[in-house]
Amino acid sequence: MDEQALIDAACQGDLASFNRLVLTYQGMTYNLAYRILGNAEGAEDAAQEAFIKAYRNLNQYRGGSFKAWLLRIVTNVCYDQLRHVQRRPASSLEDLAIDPEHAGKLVDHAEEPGDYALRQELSHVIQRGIEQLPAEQRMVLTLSDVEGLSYEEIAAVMDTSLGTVKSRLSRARAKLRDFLLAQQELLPKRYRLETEDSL
Amino acid sequence: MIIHPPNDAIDDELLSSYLDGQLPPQEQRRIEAALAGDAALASSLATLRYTKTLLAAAPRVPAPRPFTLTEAMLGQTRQRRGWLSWLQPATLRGAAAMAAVMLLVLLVGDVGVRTEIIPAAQTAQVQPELGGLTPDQGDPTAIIAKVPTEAATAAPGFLGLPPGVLLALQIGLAVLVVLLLAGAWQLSRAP
Repeated sequence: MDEQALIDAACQGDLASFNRLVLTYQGMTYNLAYRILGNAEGAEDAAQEAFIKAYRNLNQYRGGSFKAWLLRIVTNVCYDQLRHVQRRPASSLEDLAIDPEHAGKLVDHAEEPGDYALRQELSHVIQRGIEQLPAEQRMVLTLSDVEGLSYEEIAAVMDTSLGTVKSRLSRARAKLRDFLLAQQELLPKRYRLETEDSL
Repeated sequence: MIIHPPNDAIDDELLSSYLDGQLPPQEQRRIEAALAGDAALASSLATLRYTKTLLAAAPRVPAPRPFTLTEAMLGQTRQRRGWLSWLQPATLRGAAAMAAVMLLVLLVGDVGVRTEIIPAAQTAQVQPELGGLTPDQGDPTAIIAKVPTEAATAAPGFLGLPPGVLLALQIGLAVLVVLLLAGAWQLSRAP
């Protein structure tokens, strides 16, 4: 059954069809939430809440990219969580800290353990860099450079203009670049920037 | 003749768009020409490209469990939302409109009553003072100008309500309108 048929069936109340959509998009949904929120528990809650909201509001889906519509729900849920955390800053830093236990779950069984460990270190540093960014820049950067969405898709997901997407993305990349350049010693050698001095 | 801006007009935003192939061909050629002769600019682009490459190389975080929904899960949410099910953007906007109309009625009514009270109060105050005066004993308008406004402010306002209560009602309604509109916006923002 193709995606549109699953959506149509889900609109008629067929939960099994909706769950097939969930299985298709749950990886992307959780990954996005994790990159934006920076902790496993919050990302799990956000992903689950996003799917419940999507199912309950399927009648508001007006065609077009289902993926973009779903990502919009996820980013809104994440945004609400971030604002909620900002309102109670005493616990926010702990809530948003990277979960080292969760990092152990990110196993790609097709990868050599050594390579995997290096990419884990990379992931850890990048996540710290992403968390330095304001929420809007964090979302644009994740949607573009992690999820691979086009500018037009990001504008649709975030309900904003192409110009805003471009400027937020460039500022996010510039800030993350500065962070990564300042943290070179924390990165595995393979991922360090090769400068003329190091050659 | 086309005058090109200097290389320092090429900022991170332009470089970032160039990196994503999002520039028109003419702009792209201009940047390529600038990159060929400007090592600092080329280095800036290289570090942006490095950042983008690292982000793409970071491992994807897999879902820790399936997020498939169950009837029980949806039932729990429905039950939790049960008594709040009336809380829809349209309902809140309707309530905001009603509150705004009530506020308008109070404001217009209050202004109307005040414009009736003030001349009456002024007349009531002025008459006794004018009693002992002859037209050549002074300017009656000077007395009118001195008439205190306590009578006007203490008199009952619209619907016979004291001015303080009226003011409190008006402020309360204004706040209610703002809160209801904010609530409607919040509910309609995300599905």
